[in-house]
Amino acid sequence: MDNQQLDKIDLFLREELNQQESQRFQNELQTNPELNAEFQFQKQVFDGLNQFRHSQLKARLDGIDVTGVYGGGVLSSGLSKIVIGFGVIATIGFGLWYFNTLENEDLSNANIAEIDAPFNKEYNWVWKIPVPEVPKQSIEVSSSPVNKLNNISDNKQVEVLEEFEAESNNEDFEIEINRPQLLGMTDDSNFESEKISTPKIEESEIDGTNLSPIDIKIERSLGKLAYKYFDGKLFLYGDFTKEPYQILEINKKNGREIFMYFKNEYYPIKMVNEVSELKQLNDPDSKKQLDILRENKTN
Amino acid sequence: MKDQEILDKIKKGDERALDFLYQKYYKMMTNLVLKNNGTEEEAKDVYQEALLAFWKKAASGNLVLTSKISTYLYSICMNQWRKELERKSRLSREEVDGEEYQGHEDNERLKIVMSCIGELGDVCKKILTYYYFEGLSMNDIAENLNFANTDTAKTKKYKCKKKLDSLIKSKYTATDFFD
Repeated sequence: MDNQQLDKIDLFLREELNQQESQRFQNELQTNPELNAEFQFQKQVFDGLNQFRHSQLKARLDGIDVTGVYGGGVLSSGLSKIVIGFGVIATIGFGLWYFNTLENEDLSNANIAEIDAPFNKEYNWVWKIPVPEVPKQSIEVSSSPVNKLNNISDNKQVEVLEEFEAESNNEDFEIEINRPQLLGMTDDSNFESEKISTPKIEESEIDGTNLSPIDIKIERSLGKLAYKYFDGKLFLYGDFTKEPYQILEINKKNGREIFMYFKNEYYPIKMVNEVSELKQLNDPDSKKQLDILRENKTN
Repeated sequence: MKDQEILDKIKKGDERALDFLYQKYYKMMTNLVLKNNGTEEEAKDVYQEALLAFWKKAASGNLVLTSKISTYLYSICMNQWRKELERKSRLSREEVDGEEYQGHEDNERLKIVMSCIGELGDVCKKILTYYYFEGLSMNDIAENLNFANTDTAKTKKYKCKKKLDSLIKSKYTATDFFD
């Protein structure tokens, strides 16, 4: 059997002959017994190869997991997809509502917060927050993270006083004092200052304190007194190291107002994200209110 | 994966396209049988046969698709299941004794052929099955099996086929294929 005839058998079995060629080949098979015998043999081989491959692919399909998402799972149903979609949206909506409610509750409890934060060149923090009912507490924070942060020597001491203010007699505004959470500072024995790794901060930039609702940073680079206040952070520019300053926060009907008391003068703090000069407060009524507030605090 | 991408992959003999189709339409196709008095096993068998028929036709390049693959597969499944129901019905009515002997002889020969294929190396098996079952061109076979060129594929196919033929002939008796 020559290769040409074998090729023709191949083409016939693979159905690659056109109708005329196919007919001619079948006629030849009728008249040529040798060709016919070889064709029968090749057909058996062809069938065997087909069967072999068919079984191979079937075994492959048998090994495929059909319990997955493709058309076989619960997700294939359109109704199921809609129900799951609504479920997800409802969960997100409830989550947003819940957290929003929590946030509002926190804000309603914080009508007025006022904290004095004096600061001197040796980085000794002295907090004076008069509280009528609560006795003074003195603690050592020589190894506290705050001292560590500011490179303070271990022998420094900080005196912390706290005071609660009840209500102001002034009718224009109500005053409540947010009690600073000092519990953690009364005993610093739990602080393992040796093991604490804190970022290195330049001396000229000191974070205010965690007790204040406003983060305060001071830079002494400018000659005049200036500030920047945005995103809950107050940046002070100038020399605030000689005398203590106070930050006073008042909730009025038209919103919250913040003032700074420094060297016997009041300075309104506005929300500005550019460095602005601290301008003295000239309104006598506001001054009077702030005097009352300060007086109530210190008595 | 879009239908055309699937077809392109099948034409190159990429079996991952087969896996993809099998999973994608399994539920749809088997439901057809299950809702028409078929068992889970019958449904699976019908779908596999239909998918392999589609695979073979698509791989050979003889398929001209005028609808979506899913529609085409569905129609094959439907025909397969109808044929199967007819076969079952016929079996319950007719005697098939006369056909049994011939069927047995064919099966014996098929077993010999398949055992000889099993004796071939993997490359030979692939070349021959790609060529005779999928109907891939020599060019696609060369690409699929990383041969240098089409001529290499042709030479290998020729040698593999010759080896298989001689293996089978050595196991056949003369009357097996000259009767």
